Amino acid sequence: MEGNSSGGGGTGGGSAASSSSDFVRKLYKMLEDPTHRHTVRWSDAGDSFIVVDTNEFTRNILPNHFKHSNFASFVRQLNKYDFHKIRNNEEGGGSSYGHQTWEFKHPDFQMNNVDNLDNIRRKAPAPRKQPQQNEDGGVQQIEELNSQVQELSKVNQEMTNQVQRLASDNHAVIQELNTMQHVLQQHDERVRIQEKVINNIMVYLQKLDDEMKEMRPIGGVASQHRHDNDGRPSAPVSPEDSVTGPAAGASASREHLSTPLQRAQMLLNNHPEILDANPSIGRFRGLSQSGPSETADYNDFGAVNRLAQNGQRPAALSNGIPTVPEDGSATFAISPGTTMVEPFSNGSLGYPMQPPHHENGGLGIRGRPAPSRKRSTPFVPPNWQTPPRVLLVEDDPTCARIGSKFLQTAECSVDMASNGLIAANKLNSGKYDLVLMDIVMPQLDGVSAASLVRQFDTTTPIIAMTSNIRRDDINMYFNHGMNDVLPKPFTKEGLLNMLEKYLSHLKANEGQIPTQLNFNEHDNRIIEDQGNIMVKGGLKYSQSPSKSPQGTVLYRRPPADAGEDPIGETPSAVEDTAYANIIPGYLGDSTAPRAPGAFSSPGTLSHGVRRGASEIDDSQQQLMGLDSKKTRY
Amino acid sequence: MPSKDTDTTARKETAAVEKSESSERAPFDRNEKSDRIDFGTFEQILEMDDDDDREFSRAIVWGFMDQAQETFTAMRESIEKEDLERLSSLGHFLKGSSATLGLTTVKEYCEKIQHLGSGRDETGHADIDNPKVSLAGIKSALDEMKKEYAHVHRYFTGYYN
Repeated sequence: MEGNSSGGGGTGGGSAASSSSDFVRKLYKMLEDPTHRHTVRWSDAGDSFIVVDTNEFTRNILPNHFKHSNFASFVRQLNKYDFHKIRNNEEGGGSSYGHQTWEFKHPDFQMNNVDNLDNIRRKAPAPRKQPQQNEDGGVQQIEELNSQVQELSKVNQEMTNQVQRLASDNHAVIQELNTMQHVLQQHDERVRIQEKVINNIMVYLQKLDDEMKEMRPIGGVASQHRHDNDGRPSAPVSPEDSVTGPAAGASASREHLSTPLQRAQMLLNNHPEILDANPSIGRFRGLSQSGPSETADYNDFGAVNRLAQNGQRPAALSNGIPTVPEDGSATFAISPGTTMVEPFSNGSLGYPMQPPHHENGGLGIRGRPAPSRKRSTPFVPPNWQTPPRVLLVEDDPTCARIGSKFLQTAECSVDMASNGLIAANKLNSGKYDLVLMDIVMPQLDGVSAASLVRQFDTTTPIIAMTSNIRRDDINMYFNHGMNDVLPKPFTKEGLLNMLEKYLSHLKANEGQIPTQLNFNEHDNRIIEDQGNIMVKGGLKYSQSPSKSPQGTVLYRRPPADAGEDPIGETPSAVEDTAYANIIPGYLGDSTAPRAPGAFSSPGTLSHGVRRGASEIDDSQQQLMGLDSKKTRY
Repeated sequence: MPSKDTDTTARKETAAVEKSESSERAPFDRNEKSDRIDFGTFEQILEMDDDDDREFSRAIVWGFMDQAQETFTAMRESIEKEDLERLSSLGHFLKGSSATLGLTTVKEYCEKIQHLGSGRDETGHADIDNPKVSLAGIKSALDEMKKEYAHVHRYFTGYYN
């Protein structure tokens, strides 16, 4: 009614002509009428008006001024014009105007201010549309919220999916690792079995050697191809007649050996079956460790080696196998308790193990190098996690330099001492992973130095380097606390073996991983190396590339390698914590899993990793270091 | 490099000494040296060389040659003084480094001298009670050793030039 008449187009601000609406004027006028004072009036402040008695107001005043008697309509009208109802209840003094009073206020509706009335206008736009707009606004808002919620749900879903995917990838990777562990373990097994096979072969050939004792083929059978030797009957060559008959001896033995050799070849060829069928424990291990006879005395050694040397000279080191000038068996663990092999008592191990190697080309065994070809083998240092600290105690400057260079090439950090006293002092003040101790030295000899050191250090391995490897001497070394003997002059292989033996705990991955790749090579090396032991009466190994770590298993005395097998331990341990660290980084999840670092939120993840790093061993730390980088977005 | 210069000087001196001392002069034939020098062993050292300049092995070899010269001189003196014990230890001392370089014949003589100096025979087995005999043995071993050394020295000189 009112709204309609004044609504028109609902253009509140449009028509300036009717500046203030009729409604407002009427309202004003009404309030000016004193007779209505008891029903409706200005407030005391004059900035609002109060309907004191709504009943009265509705009955009498409304009809007079506004032509309707609907209080609700009146209120609506007021609202349209942007009047605001003031709640009396909220005002502190309660309703000073009474309980049922309604107070309305408009900034431009003042008691004595007629002019401002013009400013009172309807709220734009059309009154009816306003509530709808509000509703629409509300609806819109709701719709927006809905869509947002949906969005969020979608995102949530996607994230969940991603998490699941990651989790399953995780599982896959873990399983892969497990599989690889198994594979590697199986390879370990295979190698062990193969070692045993070779043991048997060695034993077999030992027996043959026994049969041919008097033939004394001089060590280091010259040529690569045994068939080249003519079948001269062997003259019994005594050790003293060194120079004359290496070829003779070899050939003679060859005649007898051909059959067993062929058998050996067959055995080797039949690897797969033998592997399964032959569980015998390697006596050969004892052989390899003992090398030539230790039974009598290592004096024989000297004789034998000289013999071997002399005998070998004409062959001109044809095999490129370095002869150890003197006692030179490669390093082996000569422990007091090791049983040495009797059959080699005469020291004449003319056993050319090489030929079988050639002839067994089918096994994929690398043949011996050509006679005059010098084999330059790459010196592959072991894969250390941390460079081992080696103390090299040596008075001879030449040996010291060479030893030091060897060790440096093997990526060890080398410290030197020129006599036993200096060495003992160094060991007292510092920590070393390995000590290579010369025996004959001024001031304080190696044995005494070792005794001295053992009084305060029982763990650092001390290795005697000496040319004296008589049994008595060796016993003495052990009795004074030395762990092992490295005959001098040492060879690269000998040195490497010692490093592998006593420092394997410092290697990364404990050397497990590469073996798979070098598997065949490894076989070759075992055969060649062990063969050379046999051949030369314990002369040093051929210059083969550095052994795959599993080669060390061969020479390590304790058979309980399985117990030390790190495959089962380290990787899984790494797994757990590494994964523990990966997960929060990936998810940005605040629920970080329990880990040694004990971090609680992704924000602090990297810090937590660092904090925790000290509690974790090196290999894990590396991984964690990487992970912490990942999480640092 | 300074070391090289001194080495060259030393080498020249050594060569002069050797020429005056050694009566025979074998033709320079690398193959012939095969019995004197165990190439397998020597190669180990060569492998340590970082580059073709062979600095490391050269240093080792020249260091050894200096060491050998000093040892010869000391041995000579000890023979004069008839100091068998010192002779034995000198022999042992040089034995190690010569063996490490693969100089088999030199090493053998060192070992003989070592044994003789400690009252044993050349093989180290039997005992020799008469010091004069030991001394005589040492003298001859020393002479032989120097000859061998001359060969080796010549070889190395050629090899490193």
